[in-house]
Amino acid sequence: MTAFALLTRTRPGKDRRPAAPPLGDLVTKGLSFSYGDHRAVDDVSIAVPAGTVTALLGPSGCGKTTLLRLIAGLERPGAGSIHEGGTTLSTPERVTPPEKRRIGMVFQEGALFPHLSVAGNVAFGLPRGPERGRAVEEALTLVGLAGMGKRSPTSLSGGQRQRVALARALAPNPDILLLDEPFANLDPALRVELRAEVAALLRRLGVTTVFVTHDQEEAFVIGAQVIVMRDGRVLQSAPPGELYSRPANRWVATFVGEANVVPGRGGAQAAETVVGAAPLAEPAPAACEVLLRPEHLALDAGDAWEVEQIEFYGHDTLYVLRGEGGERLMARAGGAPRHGHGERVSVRYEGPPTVAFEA
Amino acid sequence: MLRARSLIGSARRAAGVRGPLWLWAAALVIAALFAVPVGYLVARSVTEGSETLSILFSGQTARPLANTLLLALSVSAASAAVGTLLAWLTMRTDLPLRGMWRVVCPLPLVLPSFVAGAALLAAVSPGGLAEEVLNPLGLEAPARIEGFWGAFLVLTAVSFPYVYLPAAARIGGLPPALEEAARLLGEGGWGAFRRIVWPQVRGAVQAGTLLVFLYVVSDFGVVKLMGYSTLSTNVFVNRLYDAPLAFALGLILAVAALAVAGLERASAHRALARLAPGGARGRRVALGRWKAAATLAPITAVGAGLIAPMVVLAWWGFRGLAGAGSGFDRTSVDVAALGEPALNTVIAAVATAVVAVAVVLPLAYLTTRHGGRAAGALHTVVAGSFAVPGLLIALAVVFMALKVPGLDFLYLTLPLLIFAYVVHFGVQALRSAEVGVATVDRRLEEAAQTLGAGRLRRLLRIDLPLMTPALAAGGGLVLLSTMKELPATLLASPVGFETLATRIWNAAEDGFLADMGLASVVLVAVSAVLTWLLVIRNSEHLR
Repeated sequence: MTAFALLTRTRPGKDRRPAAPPLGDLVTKGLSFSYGDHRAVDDVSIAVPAGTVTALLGPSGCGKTTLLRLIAGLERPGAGSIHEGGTTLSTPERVTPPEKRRIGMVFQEGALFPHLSVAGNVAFGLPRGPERGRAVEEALTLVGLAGMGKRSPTSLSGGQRQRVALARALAPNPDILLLDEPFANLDPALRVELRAEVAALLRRLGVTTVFVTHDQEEAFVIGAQVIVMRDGRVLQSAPPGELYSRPANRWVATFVGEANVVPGRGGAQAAETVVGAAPLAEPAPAACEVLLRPEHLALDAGDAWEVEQIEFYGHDTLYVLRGEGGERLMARAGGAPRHGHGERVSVRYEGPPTVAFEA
Repeated sequence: MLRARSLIGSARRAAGVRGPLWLWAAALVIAALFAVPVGYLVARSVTEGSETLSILFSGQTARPLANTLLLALSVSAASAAVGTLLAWLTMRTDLPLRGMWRVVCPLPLVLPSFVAGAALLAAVSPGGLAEEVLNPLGLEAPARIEGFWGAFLVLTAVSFPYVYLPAAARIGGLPPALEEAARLLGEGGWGAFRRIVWPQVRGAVQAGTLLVFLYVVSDFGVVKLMGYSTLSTNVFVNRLYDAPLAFALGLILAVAALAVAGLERASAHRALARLAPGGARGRRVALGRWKAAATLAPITAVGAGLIAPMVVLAWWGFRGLAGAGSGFDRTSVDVAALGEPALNTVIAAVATAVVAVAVVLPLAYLTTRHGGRAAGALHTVVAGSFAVPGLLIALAVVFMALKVPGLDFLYLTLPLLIFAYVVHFGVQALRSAEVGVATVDRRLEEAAQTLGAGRLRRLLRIDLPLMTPALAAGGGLVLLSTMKELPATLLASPVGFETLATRIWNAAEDGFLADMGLASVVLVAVSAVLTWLLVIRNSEHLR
């Protein structure tokens, strides 16, 4: 196998595993799983289009890792099924064991085999043969670790370990790649760097990928599609832009970004709120709550709101405003602060059509 | 079909049974094998009918039982006192050379008790070291030390480390701030120990003392050499011509041992409660004018438990090598004749270690990975076999091979001996194997699985390499115990199969002191290396 093979998704001739059927979408239907009485995954139906990256986003304990383990075949579903293209991978009666699936997985702390060298780790999933050494080196090159094969995993930094884990998962040329919060234990700067790199790599390779994270930013950067989970259920699955601008409910709205959710009076085209009219993407009932993203609020001189708190971030400034009734609003504006502490301002909505939720 | 499976599933969960069925099947078979000897002991005592049962409550058992309890209680009390005192001296005071004493105090563990007993007898025997040293001084050497006091001295000298090790670890782990706070609140040195230190250390001392009790109750070699009649000597003596009596005594012995082991387990849990680790660097108690007297304590204890016996044995061995006598003489020694027993010892011990590790592995997976009450029960079966004296296990397997139809091909064979050893010492391998299994992160196996590795490949490439240190340690402990085991070897060895332990024993009984000395030095040297590597070096109190 060569890097070219990886990039173009041609199948190497010497692969010992059974020839896979043509790549297909990864689909779960009505999938459920319980730990004892706790329903970790509850009636989950998702579809991951072949060759794309889907981010699975949710707070810790929402069942996203369990869903990933179900897809990997490490757990047996209590109900529902998992399919890849025309092949059924899991049902409550029959689970294709993980070693018989063409799935690569990157674990949270890498789970590198401590007694094997970096090259030994990457080679683990490859068939024996003259091609093996070259395939290992190419996989390491792919993740920017060329020439590090002889090192021991314990001598690597956290970021390098995750790169090795990624190379190990990619080397056998899997149909589906699963990543379980691979950057969770890295320091923030490194996490930002690595996620951009991995996002680019995954897009280039075109592997069907499910990426689990609890970090909204990470999900948006990496996922072509983002699936939000909470308490074992899927709340919404959509491309990042749509998820941000048109979240399905109040919880999703606040989970995927900063949000003001204020009471309003809905209508066919717009809703009336404390900051005046806000255009709606779809009609809303009379009694509703309207989503106002802080960056869509514009401040002018006025007297309805008082600047209570200013947080200057360099590229922009966050204002916390207090209304006459004690209610608070967050507003974000580019550049340095233009209003001082205690200054009185007026607020208006200046953004794309937004959404309202039933109150 | 589906409903049947879910029914079985819920029944298994209700019984605390988790994990794959094939693992359970393997583990159940193994645990059953471990239970066989004790099961046979009990079954035979009951089915032999009125005979054994009537002996059980007759005067014939009262005296050996009383002797056993008297000795065990005395040695336990003495060991507790000596072990605790030494622990406090080496960990909390300004005792000179305390760093060295911390290493040296546990060393009497390397001496099998029957070797220490034989050394004492050899020292006071005519022509022995005691005469050589005392006579020129115009003192008369004691003619013979025997009976209760002989057994008491020897057993206390070699078993106090069972108390010393946990007590020292505990005292060393106590934050000095506790003691300092007590002193600042106006409590004196002794008062601080009694009110603050002792309550914290008591659990560890109790656990260690129960181990000593178990050790003494199970002991056969020392009491036999000293001519002190206990349950174990009576089992041994009566096994051939009064089997019902032997079984009745054996049953009492087994019950006593298991009861004590149960107590030890219960108390060990309390003793394990950890305090803030590390912070033992505090002020030390200044011994002042007691320093000289205090220094004598470890010198005496280690002297009696290790140095003196080794000097005596080496002296006899050296005399034999130097050729003080010739031919069939009790002071002569044939070095070449040691080769075979040494080889036999290695064969039996290595085979036992390998079999033990292999056999307990499925159990270790079950208890560590899947837990639950049922798995805990299997662990208890294996642990219980360790508490039952080796003498009884060997007695049971030998009689089984003799009496149960179809098993006679095993009678007095090496596999039978190894089976008895494995049953007796298996728990040492099990505990280490459990540690080993626990060190293998399950995600490593899952990672291997997603990379296409089947069950066998995962075991060979991932689990076993990662568990090797723990498995080697467990196998090493079994090796060490097997080498030192006397009564089981005496009872269950094939005819003519002599090990170092049985050679030392026979030489001691027949008075071939030079032979005994040399064989003992060899055995103790090997045992010392293993004990250092596996037990003392890893002990908590040295951290």
